[in-house]
Amino acid sequence: MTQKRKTTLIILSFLLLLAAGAVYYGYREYYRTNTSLERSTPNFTMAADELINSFSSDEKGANAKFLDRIIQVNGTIKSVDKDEKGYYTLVISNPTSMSSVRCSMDSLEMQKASLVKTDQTLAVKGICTGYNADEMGLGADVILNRCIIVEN
Amino acid sequence: MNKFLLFLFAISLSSLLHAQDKFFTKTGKVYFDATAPKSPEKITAVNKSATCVLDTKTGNMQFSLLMKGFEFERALMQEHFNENYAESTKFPKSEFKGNIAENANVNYTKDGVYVVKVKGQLTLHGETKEVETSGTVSVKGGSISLAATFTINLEEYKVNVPTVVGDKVSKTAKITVDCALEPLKK
Repeated sequence: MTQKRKTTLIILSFLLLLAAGAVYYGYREYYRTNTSLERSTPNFTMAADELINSFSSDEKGANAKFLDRIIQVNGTIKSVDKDEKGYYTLVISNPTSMSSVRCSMDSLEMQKASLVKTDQTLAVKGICTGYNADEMGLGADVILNRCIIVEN
Repeated sequence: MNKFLLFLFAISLSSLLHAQDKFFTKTGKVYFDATAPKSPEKITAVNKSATCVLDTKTGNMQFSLLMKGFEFERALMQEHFNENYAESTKFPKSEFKGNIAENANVNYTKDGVYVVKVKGQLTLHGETKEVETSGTVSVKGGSISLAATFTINLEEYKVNVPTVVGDKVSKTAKITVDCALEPLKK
């Protein structure tokens, strides 16, 4: 085998490897599903009131800071809402306030959510999807999605 | 005279009992489907935290949801939806304000399924357009469910679908609304 052929072969196999890597990466990325937040570390940890306050005082700033981030909130359960499809939402709030953090639970977390009781103190982490200002007289809410109950 | 007073009392009592005009939910479901015809993969998402208020007296209704609350099965699809199409950081909310035509035909105190026409304004991606659809109001044991399916033209809302993905992503999106409402306690 000549030196030239050897070099071509090496280059070719290198390119092939690169292509295979790219395909593999593309495939993985394409079929990537939303993973459970169970093992992820929260970007922010705070009291529910604190989170509500930052949104009510400066929605734009809070959006920039919290949207798409994993937030762990601590607080008192105001209500456990189960909807007609069996999905649970834990409502965390100061009992005297109309505003709350609404934690839409991850579909794998329904069993645990069903055991939560009103007035219990709890920590929940989830992805912040935004803030509903009180436009319809229903109280303002910060929404967390795909939530997981944090074990003490 | 006494009878008259009793009558007045009965009237006021009945009006108190019927004071429940407003119904709401904060866990309304809104489904999004922009799968192009013949596309092998489904481009669908669900939002489980839509807010909805219905005033049964006037037939006025209002929906509101956060765009980032749409959950796709594939994470990449969800990212593209938020970053390239809906631009959810710039336009975090979508809203619908409308009312039921001929609301008087719906008997909110009697169980049944009523087919209604709804007309109103949908705000999406910062654009507001008229939307008209038919849907159902289901009354059962004091609670009310609203359901409707309608199609929106994404171009009208200035959402651009590049031709490259035209065989997968449709230029129209099918929106399905499914909300179970409870009486609003004051």
